[in-house]
Amino acid sequence: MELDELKSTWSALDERLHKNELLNSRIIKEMIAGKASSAWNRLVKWEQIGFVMIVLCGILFICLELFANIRWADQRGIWLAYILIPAALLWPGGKLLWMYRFDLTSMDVKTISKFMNTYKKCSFWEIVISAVIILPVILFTIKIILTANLSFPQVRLIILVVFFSCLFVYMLWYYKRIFTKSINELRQSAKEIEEFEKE
Amino acid sequence: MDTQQQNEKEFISLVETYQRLIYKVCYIYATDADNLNDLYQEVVINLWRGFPTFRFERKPSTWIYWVALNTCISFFRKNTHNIEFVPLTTDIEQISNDDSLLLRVKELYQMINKLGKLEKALVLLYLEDKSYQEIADITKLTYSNVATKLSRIKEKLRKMSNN
Repeated sequence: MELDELKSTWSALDERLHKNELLNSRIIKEMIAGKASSAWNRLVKWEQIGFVMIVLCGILFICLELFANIRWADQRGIWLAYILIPAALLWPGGKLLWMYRFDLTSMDVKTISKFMNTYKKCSFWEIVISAVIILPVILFTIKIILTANLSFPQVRLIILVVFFSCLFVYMLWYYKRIFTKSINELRQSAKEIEEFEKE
Repeated sequence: MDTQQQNEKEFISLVETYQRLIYKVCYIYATDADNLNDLYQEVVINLWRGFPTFRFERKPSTWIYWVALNTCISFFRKNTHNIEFVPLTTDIEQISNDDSLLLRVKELYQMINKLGKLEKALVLLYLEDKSYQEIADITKLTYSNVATKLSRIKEKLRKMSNN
């Protein structure tokens, strides 16, 4: 298909569209009444919920540590938690502030594209980092089950270990899939932006 | 009639006037019919949110292109399950009862779909017969950059069509 043909196809489609009514005032009213927020606002909302959850978890942990007089098995974990909690707060907090700058009506297409690429990159690394944290937690849980002096019969123990092992394998496969897909998309998008940056 | 109702009336009339323009932008970026409906509603919502600040200072079509392209480029859902949208009254299969046109439109779509998001924006504006200056105004690229990019994209499309 040559370029002139492309244009003529586009014009033919345009003509057909002129003969058809795509929507009417009732549909427009339903559209603006049906969804109070846009896809981006929902992303912001999820980030806000995540931020509040981290704050609540942090408060809960500090309350347990200070007031509940719990004897933790390993003090190194406590210190690690004290380091991780502020980091876990700073990251989504900064990300939220950055997300508030997004404005569809004032940013140009190139800036919007860069913005989205950065957002996807952040989300991608969040998944990778969560995987790095979650996988040792699963392995640690398996270790606890195996070493603990539980009153479970042997069969139940085996079932639990098999379950956690399957979960571990599934997560590895899932993360690999996400990793490959996202990294390809990010590479393509970054390459395109880079090309557009050049005059 | 209060201000809100007046605003809504003006907005509905604006969207009705430019409904085809929005459709074409969404069509270029949509992956399937559901995605097209979803994108369409998303554009309408973003236009509605931006409408109070838009006071016909810009050409309405330029503003709509701007918001529609930005919406389609930035459209991202973490969860693609259970998407709810208000469907349009018709879709591309119904619009074109001519088989040969439908075939050509699909071919056109397949070619454009291989391009990047920013390239798609330029091709769309080119197909819409916009001048380089208008494309530059909408995309905020320089005139010369638009010309260079478009010539590269044309070359890319030519190669695709030859393969």
